[in-house]
Amino acid sequence: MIEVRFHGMGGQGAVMGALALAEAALAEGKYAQKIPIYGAMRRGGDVTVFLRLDDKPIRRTCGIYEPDAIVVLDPALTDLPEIRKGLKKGGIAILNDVRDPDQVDLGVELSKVATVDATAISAEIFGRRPIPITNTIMLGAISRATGWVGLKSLEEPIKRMFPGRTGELNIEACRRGYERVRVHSHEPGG
Amino acid sequence: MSFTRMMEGNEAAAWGVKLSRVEVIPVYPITPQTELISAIASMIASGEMKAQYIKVEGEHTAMAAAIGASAAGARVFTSSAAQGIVYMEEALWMPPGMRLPIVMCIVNRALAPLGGLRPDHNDSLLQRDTGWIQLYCENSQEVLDTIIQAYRIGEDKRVYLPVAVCYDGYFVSATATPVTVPDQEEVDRFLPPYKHELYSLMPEDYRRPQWGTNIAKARYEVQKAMERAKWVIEEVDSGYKASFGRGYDGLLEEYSCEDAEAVLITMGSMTGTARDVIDEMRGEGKRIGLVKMRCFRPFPSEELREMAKRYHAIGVVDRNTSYGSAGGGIIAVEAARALYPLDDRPLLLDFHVGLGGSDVTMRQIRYMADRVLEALDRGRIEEEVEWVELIDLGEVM
Repeated sequence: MIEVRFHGMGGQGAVMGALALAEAALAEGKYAQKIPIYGAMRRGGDVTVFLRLDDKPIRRTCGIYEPDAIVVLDPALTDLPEIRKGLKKGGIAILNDVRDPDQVDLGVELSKVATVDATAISAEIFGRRPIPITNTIMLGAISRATGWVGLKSLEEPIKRMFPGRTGELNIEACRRGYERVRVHSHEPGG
Repeated sequence: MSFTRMMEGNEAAAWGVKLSRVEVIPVYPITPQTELISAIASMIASGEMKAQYIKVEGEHTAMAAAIGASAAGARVFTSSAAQGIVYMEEALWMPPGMRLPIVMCIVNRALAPLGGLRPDHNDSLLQRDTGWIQLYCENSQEVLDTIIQAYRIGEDKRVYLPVAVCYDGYFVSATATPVTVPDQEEVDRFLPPYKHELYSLMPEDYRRPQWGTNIAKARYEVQKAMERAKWVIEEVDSGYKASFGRGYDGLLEEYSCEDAEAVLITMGSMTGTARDVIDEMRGEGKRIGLVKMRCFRPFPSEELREMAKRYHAIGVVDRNTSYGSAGGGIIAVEAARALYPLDDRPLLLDFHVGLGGSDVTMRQIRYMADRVLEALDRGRIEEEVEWVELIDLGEVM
């Protein structure tokens, strides 16, 4: 089982993003579970979502306090202590971040750090907004960095969630996230 | 056609209502139930569901309208949570006495002031004496399946009682998991149209209520119906399993109990978490199992008693408080009465956890299971009732 915690600002689509990832996993014959937290950990309206992925049915319903991976949709959140809290040694961080992944230090030894400038991609595709929409961009980045779900599998759920032109834009956003993510892997003992 | 997709508990409940071909739905919104009734409203607005949706001005009226519609011969659904259920309570006593098989979802939420938007079980357990059957669901799939079962149970003429289908707000209501929605025709075969044999208030089919003037006898009938409901619940669940391939072991489910010397009893969504913990402990060779209490009313006394003959220590997990009770939470007190007639009674420990809507974590469940095993080893109980959230388990939260 992989336990992932998503962090975003209200309006960036963390909940929808996690749901699209869950649906993509389901379409690939896997199991998924998404638990949203609204209101807790409030700082400028940040949103936390728990996502579990597994090859067998997921039974536990508790929150995720020691995640295998974190996904951060907004660079303003990355350095807050609650974002890295409980992140497992050897875990994965996928961040909306302009830095090279090897420049990122979350204070815990990770197996993989992936960064993508999702704010910039969001401006290219959706225009500049006070709260940039970054969820579908991060989905592309997740797919490339982790292989949890294929890029192709993400398209259907994105289309279902955003009908019409918005859906096309979001699929393009997802692709660009996939193309532009940079991944730094730490080999065990290396 | 049956299909499977990611779905939150509230949406799964709406599908259960739709597939049950409910005719009248008087409801008033309250977190965390609102998404359930808005999903139903959307289904009606889009024309995919045919039902009379009555927007009332409060929960008390919702139940009053439900009573009227059910007595007139309609299949009725309503739903509420927390303060809404308490506000409804005066009217909640009517359907059991009138023998009306209304189905209601209680989307469990802690009561004010010592609670937030998330669940504990005091809102539904508070209604335990009203005469409503109470079934507790572990996940969204079980919610959908149990709503369909609830109509079969309540409308069975051996029962004729209302049924509360309870599920945890947030951990079930807002959690998306894969849910299989069965085919409408298959549900129609399983659940025939509702027809009350005792009476109808419709002018063209007017049949006078039959409860008469002997009040004690009428109450005794409700008690008897409650007792018969036990085997109807078992029967309906096994019939459901035969039709749809999914069942929930009726009243109580024993999970991983082979050779167990001790068990933990859980109710609601925490059961899923407990399964993972018990598996882990089994892997370590610990002889502990899990009992899921699916049905709280009627209380499965005989079943628990039978089961307890095999276990020497039982830990009850009470996601509720009953201040100043005979000892511990509501389930523990009931369980103690159920176990009392045994010659060789098991050790009975009680734990308060998940109160006011806080999460029930793997570590907390592990702690409780370990305490039960410790009691088993020592042959005695150190503390009869523990408040697990007051103990520092070194949790990163």
